[in-house]
Amino acid sequence: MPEIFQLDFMLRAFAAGILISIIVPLIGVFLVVRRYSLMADTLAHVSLVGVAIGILTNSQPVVSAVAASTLAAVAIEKLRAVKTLFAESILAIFLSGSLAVAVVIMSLAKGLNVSLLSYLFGSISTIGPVDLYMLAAVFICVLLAIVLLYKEFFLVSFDEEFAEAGGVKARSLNLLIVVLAAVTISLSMRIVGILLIGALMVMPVVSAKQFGLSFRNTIILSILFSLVSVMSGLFLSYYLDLASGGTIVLIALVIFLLSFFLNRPQ
Amino acid sequence: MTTAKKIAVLFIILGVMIAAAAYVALKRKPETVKNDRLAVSASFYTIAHFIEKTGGDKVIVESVTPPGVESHEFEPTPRDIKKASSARLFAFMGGGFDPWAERIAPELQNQGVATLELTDSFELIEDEEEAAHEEGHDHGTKDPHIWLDPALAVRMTGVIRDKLIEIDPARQDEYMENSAQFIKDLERLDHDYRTGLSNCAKKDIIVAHDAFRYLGARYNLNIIPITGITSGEEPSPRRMAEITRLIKEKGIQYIFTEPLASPAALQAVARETGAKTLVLNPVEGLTAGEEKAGKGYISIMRDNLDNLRKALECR
Repeated sequence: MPEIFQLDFMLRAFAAGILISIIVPLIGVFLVVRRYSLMADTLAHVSLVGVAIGILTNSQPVVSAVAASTLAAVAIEKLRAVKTLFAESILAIFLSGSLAVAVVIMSLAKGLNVSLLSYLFGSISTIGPVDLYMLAAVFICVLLAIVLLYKEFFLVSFDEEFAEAGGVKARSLNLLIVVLAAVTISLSMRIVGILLIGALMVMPVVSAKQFGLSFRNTIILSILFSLVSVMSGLFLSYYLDLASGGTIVLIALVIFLLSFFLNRPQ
Repeated sequence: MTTAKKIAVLFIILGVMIAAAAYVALKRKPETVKNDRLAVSASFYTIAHFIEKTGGDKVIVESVTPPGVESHEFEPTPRDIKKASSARLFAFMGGGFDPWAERIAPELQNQGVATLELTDSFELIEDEEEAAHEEGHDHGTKDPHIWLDPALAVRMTGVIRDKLIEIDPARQDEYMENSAQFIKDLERLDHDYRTGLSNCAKKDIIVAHDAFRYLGARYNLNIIPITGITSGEEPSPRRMAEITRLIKEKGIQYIFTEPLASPAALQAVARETGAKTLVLNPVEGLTAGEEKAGKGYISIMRDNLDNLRKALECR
């Protein structure tokens, strides 16, 4: 067996990596087509509040991160109905507001610099068995939700009013997709980190969209792109001794650049 | 180009790039020196140094934390952990000093590596102040900086010696002999601290972080730390104001900085009060420069003593 697979935490990292790279673009594609790319980043920053609470109270930071980002996702969706607020302003307020809350909570508990860094940029050696079980559960939920409600999600994403007219409950579907995004993001932060998870949710989807395929094939291609980014990123970061989250996102960036230039009209 | 072709071209280009990177990675294969020396991995410099002194040329020690990095702020890469897992023994401080080491120790045990948590063998000073307002929070309430008291450093050497003998009983005599020599050096250091600090005009020292309790307790110094037990924190403006007032009240001339931590806060205090700065090294790691200059635990502790004598106006 190659040395990379002799360590338990590397096996866990690869298992988590496969799960993440399938569900992250699956949710990302619905955010991207609705011009909601910043949502991923916002929810990631809100997760940091949960991490801070988790460290302060000495409990599982991942659990409180999931709770915090889910609550924020619901609040953002509710606020979107208020017509005096632009959707992107709401996201900006949540993004920087949650960062402020997180920093203040962090300063209440002392000496958190290191663990904080590992959440911001990811640290694959800290993925525990519990993280993996939670991720597996979310993986199944996301997959089920998308497969069962594919047509509804598709309609809502492209034309909310039309979908509504056709009897689709647009608001509950929107809520469902952002809640799934929130949970997925909070659980993925160990691998790519809070500051970089947004990239993984958006980049493979935007790259795949460059090829002008059908919606379904775009989803398949984006999953392929994110799988390649995560797997090769984990390998390269291990053998070249580089930060895993950054390596993964750099590969996703290279894929985007190639997709973009290959599809430019001559 | 058709879409399928474009996707194929993309994956070919990407594949070539990744293959090139993989080639570079595999060319730097780790050099595995096959010899009969006992391979030991230590979480940071000081432990590695003590093991080297005890094991002599019968062991080959590597510090996981590289030079110039605080062990507390360090996070090992998967490769670092892999390297540590090929040693026979992994020694670390514990007690919250190197939290990453406490985390990976069970993993290394699964790989058949013996582990030694040094603070297990010591009664640590409890931090009442932090324990009081952080109820039920077990991190950062004990002080792990035992090696800064030369008398406890003697005991630490004994613990390391016993562990090496347990793992490698065939070389018991060498380990006994080396450690006895090192303990003699440490006892001389303790003696010099005792006499050097016995007749001083002052007792109070201002330090960057709270690492010197054991040293202060041993030689009757009053240690005033700007921040807590963990290094790398920034003091609050209120704490800095308190320290500034204290320096003026007590007429303190010198404040102590650390080589591996940012001196910005202490320099601000120094500017405010007109006090000068001196280095008091908590020996949590060597800088690259110190390593080159051949500095070690004992010579750094002697530099510390010189600076303490200067600041405390000892005769």
